[in-house]
Amino acid sequence: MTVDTQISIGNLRCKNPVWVAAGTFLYGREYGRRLPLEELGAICTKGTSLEPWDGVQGIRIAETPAGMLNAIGLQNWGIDAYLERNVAWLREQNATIVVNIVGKTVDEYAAVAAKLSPRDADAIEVNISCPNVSEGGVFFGTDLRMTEKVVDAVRKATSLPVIVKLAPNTHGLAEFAKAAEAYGADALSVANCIPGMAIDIRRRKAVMGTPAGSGGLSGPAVKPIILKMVWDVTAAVRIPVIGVGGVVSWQDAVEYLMAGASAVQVGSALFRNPNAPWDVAQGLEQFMRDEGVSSIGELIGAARP
Amino acid sequence: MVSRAATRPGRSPSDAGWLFEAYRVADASTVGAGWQRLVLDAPALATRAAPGQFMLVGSAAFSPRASGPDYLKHPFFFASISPEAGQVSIVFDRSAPFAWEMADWATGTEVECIGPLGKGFPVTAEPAAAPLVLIGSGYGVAALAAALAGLHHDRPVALFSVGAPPVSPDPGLLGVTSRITCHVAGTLEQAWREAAEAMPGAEVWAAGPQDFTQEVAGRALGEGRRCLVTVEAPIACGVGACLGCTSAGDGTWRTCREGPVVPAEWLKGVKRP
Ligand SMILES: Cc1cc2nc3c(=O)[nH]c(=O)nc-3n(C[C@H](O)[C@H](O)[C@H](O)COP(=O)(O)O)c2cc1C
Ligand code: FES
Repeated sequence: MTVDTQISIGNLRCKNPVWVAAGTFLYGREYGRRLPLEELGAICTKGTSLEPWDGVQGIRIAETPAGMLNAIGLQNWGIDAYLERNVAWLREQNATIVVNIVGKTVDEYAAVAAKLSPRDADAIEVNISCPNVSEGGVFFGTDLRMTEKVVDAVRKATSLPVIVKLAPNTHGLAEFAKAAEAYGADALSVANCIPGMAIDIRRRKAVMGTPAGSGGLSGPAVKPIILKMVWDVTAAVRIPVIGVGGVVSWQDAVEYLMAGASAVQVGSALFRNPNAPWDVAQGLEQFMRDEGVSSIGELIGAARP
Repeated sequence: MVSRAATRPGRSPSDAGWLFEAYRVADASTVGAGWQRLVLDAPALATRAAPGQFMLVGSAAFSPRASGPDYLKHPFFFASISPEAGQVSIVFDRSAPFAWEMADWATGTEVECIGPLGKGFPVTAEPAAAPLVLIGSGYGVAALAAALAGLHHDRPVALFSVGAPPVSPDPGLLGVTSRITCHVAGTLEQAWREAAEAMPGAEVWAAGPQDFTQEVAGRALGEGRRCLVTVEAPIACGVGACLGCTSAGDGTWRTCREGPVVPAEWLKGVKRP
């Protein structure tokens, strides 16, 4: 049977619901020279700011049970470098491009968004939820008023679809989701890494190099937690939700879709298996055939009462 | 060579420069004090790997455990590279935290590897006649043994292991030319002194834990010698995509891409956590 794996997120049409997550894929070349980017639903770029950021000095990675901590601190070369070095190559690959943007102020978010024309990006993912920077990032995503301001400013600065990537560490996630929707978000990514830490017991100090000694947890360890958030958020808003956290296999993707997500992002699973997003897309398509599912729409929210 | 990793149809693997394949353990043995050596049947990898480059190694299936890290693959230098035999080998400390699973891998175990990764030693690009001192500690000696095997055979080389070496360089090699000598030294100080006597002014390549290579870099720079050293960082992706291994000294580099073999000059001003 033929199955239709296409999905729409606002005006954004994607070949399938399997994306790659921001920050695990830089700007596509490292993994995308090996397997075709055009086979993926979309790729989210590294979080990109107005000016270059240095990121965290010190330990940035720690492996944990069924996951990993990262504290990259949004190192990136700035939006102009993205435009000069990466857009043309990504377009040649026929990639669907979602540029993940970050800022230290509301104006910076808006300025980065304003620099992206439809030639440079197919959508913008607003990262208000990075746990590893002291200014910006999660500061915006854990304060309702700031969330509204950032989303409002980005919405006014661009005609591209706007996806807001929520922070998992808030009380009342649904309120943040509703605020983003009210101020013009076309979709929500749920969610960023969960703040966590590890201690080096011989040196008696925190492993990660951030001043607070913490990092962001990702991988299979976070999946059940984020899956529930997706379940809750999809009940609270009308806009599509993208599930991000611990997708390693196609079964994980199907769970997210059935919980209500319209798409999923594969992140750190790439580090174990550089084929992971392609494997997930293939496995999902096979599952649809096996189950006689003709379109993704039939799976979205299928587990909901 | 089998499995899912190998069978996924992709573009020409040269597009990425690295392979993602499953390999069979051809031999697993304990060598030296507490060191484990794994030989892998990896024909395609063996034809493209260079000494000083590394690969990520992990189990083919995700094997969770109740406590402790179990998610990522781990980086290893090539301890030997044999295109003829279609094999590469690695050595590692059996008691290291990452070795919880690997230490038990036996002949026939199927493992997954991503590699070759990063920049290695310029074995073939270097002048054949220039004298070279290789100084290693721990796993670094294994990486240098691989470099030794790849060098121009008429190049005068002295290999120093500071502390007991996990593996001895291929004894067959030592017969190739009388210009290769191997030494074991108790301390870096001692190795440095002996090297200066044997080969004054030689270029230096060092490999091993970064506290060690950083000290070598400092000495070499102090004496105005050309010097390449390996650097370390926690590695997640290994291919340059996650920025998890960024280090800063004189400049900023991704250990997995611009390293792990870097000019000693880069380590000026480097801060270790
Ligand atoms: C090394 C690393 C870097 C990341 N950088 C970013 C980033 O720049 N922007 C962002 O929104 N999320 C970033 N994230 C979060 C991921 O996009 C994703 O939300 C998270 O890893 C959970 O997915 P996973 O469990 O599949 O890895 C990063 C994650 C990792 C592991
Ligand atoms: S380990 Fe990911 S960039 Fe080096």
